[in-house]
Amino acid sequence: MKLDRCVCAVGLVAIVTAACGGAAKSASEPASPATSAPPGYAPLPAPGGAAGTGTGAAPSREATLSVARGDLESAQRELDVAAGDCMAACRALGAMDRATGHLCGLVQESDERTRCEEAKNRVRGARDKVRTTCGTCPGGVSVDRNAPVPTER
Amino acid sequence: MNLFDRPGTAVWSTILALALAIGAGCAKKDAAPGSAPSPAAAVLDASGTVDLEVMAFLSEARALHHEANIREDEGDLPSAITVMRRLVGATRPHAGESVPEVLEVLADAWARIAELELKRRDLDEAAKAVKEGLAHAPDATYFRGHLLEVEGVIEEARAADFSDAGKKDDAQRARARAIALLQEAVKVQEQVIGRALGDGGKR
Repeated sequence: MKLDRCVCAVGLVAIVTAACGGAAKSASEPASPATSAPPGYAPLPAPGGAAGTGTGAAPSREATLSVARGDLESAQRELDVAAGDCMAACRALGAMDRATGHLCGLVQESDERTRCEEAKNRVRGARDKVRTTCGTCPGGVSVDRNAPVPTER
Repeated sequence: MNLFDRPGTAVWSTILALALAIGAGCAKKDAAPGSAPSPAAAVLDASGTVDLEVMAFLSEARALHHEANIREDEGDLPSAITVMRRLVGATRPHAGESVPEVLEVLADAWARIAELELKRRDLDEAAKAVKEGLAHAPDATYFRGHLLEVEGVIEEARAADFSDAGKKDDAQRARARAIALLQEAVKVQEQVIGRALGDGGKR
């Protein structure tokens, strides 16, 4: 739908802007080597417990925030990539589902019925995989192993 | 019609993937040497700038798919096909180079031409379009799988035509080809899912 596409387009701009802007910002802000937390802020444990260990000094708020910002940006990037992968997987699953529907609609002999069942099993396996990683798919593509193959629409 | 069913959404998906990749690419400019190249490499030059030629081509493809949608919605299939043929005949960015995103757009456009030809029941033209598309999609990608699926449906239609004409043997052979093509399409898409979700496309 046109509205969906507009929403997606706005989202895209936001994603690209956020990723580029965020990266530029983190690159231009080297971590501060400050050694103490300002009053009122308890030093936060660094991810993995690496920062600050061995020196006996607590990271500054600025350094902690910088690490947190980096983690957030990294997580955002992973999320963006995962969204793209799930979109690709869902699209391929929809195509598998359709092709299997056509294939099974053509079978007449027992050997062909076996091929139909094999294709259905592949679709069920793919549904499990997509459901585990992506949860659901848009556009009515079923990720329910027990749903009919092809998906009823 | 939803985002995944509408013809031309593969182009949209490519643009989305590129946008996501560009985002990731911007953030990975300082990635360690030897790390895996960003999928945005094709639209980012050495300085990390977006390749405008490729982006312009993608934009043109999107507009032409949209125009074909309008023609198709009006029931004017010949015009829709003409529009799509403008896309496959359009000037390509970086002539002589193999740009994956451009090849995907071309493979997708040929698949759509095949579907439109199938819709107006010109099975031979549809089959020719599939062959053209497959030349742009030699690897196990969604686009190759989709082209094989369309080819399977073309053979399915051919089998029905032969059957209606009382040509049982020809119908049987077309049906067998259809089953083989559709089975291959399923396997290709299974690999695509495996790769996208991290098993390296085993099987």
